[in-house]
Amino acid sequence: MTEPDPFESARLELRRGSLILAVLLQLRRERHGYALRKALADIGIEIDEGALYPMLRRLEGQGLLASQWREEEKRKKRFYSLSPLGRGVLDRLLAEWRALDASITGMIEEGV
Amino acid sequence: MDLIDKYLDGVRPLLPGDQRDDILEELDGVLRRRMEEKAAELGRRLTRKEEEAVLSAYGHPIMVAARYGPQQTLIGPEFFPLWWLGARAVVVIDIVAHIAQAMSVLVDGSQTGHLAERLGSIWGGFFSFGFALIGALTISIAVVERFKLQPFGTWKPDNNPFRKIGKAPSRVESGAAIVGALFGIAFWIALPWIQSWGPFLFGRVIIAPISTMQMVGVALGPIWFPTLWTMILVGSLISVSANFADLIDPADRARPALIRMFAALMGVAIGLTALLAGPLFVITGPTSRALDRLLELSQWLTIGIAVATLAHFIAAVWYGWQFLRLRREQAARPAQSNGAATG
Repeated sequence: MTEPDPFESARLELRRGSLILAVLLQLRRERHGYALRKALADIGIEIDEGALYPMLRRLEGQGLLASQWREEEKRKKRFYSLSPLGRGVLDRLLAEWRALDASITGMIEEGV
Repeated sequence: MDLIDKYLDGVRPLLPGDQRDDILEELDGVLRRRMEEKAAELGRRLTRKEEEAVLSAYGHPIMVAARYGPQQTLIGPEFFPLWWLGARAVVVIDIVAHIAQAMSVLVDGSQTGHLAERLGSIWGGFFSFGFALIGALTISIAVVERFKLQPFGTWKPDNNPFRKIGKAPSRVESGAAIVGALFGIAFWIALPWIQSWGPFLFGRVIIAPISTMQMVGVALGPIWFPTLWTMILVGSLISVSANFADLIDPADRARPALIRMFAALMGVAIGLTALLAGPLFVITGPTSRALDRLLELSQWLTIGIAVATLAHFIAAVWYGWQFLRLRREQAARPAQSNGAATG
């Protein structure tokens, strides 16, 4: 059995936690799944569609997102956006993120 | 029906019912767009094989559907290390138990049948026994996790078994342990001579109803009396003497540890004797069905005894280590106090 690459394991762990935050941030503006994936890819966050759509459903199930079907370019698409609860959660997550960022940056600058 | 419909038919049954149609409609859109993108890339219509490749790349329908299910794990990351530790212990117990059983077959010449067949039947149970234990372990830990039980209680420094090594039990604890043990010993001594119980255990007249409605006599084997009976009595007396040592000189922790080590070694000897020195049961009215039952019972009992023997061996090592450590500490104490006085 080959040992997993420690960097890769740590990177995936780090990414997994940040992905929800990135999705919530992008959905401050209403988007359908494909547009969301492209928007994330444009800023360097690649996510597989097979993982993205179930994640959107889960976040919607938790009440963080709202969605509706609409027609765009002659095709029915499901558009997702942050719900009021999602906005509140996003604010709190961002506060967490900033605190973590400040701590990590502080440590890096101190050379600890 | 095109390939996408066939693909979605594979996904459909495993999706959560209340969202099924909604998810399928969204998936349909995703897959059609992917096919269009691929066709645009190639500048022509896709062949059937290319369509299949697009769908395969999205994932097996079962896996795709599973991603939409509730995120649940039987054993989560918090308890997984505990489960993994338990699973490895189970494998060790399984191996030890089956080696012990195999040894008892090799040593015991009284059993009938071809040796290879008997060994084969023992090792045939290796996987079923192991899987049964792992199943029980998995369910237990899943219950603990599901109901948020605290299997180890609240951690307190004084509950650490390593910290308890040098701590004497209270006189009440020692007294209660002695009284309980003496009652047990008195019962064990009297057992063969108690009119109603003696024959039941040592008089070779246990009557076991078999499903054929035939009454078959099953008795404990001759190894029980006097050999095992005496060994168990001696082991109990050694064990209770450790409680007496606790009571008489609570400051001396090494002596009770040494006595407990001998008691545990006696447990190992009892287990090995039970496993190796002869049949634990004899049958007095054999039928093939009764014999099968007896062999089955005997196999499970052998496994139980093997596990208990292993536990006693571990306990012996534990108490032996305690004894050595405490003796070293006790030997170092006067030297330290002398040093303090002269310094």
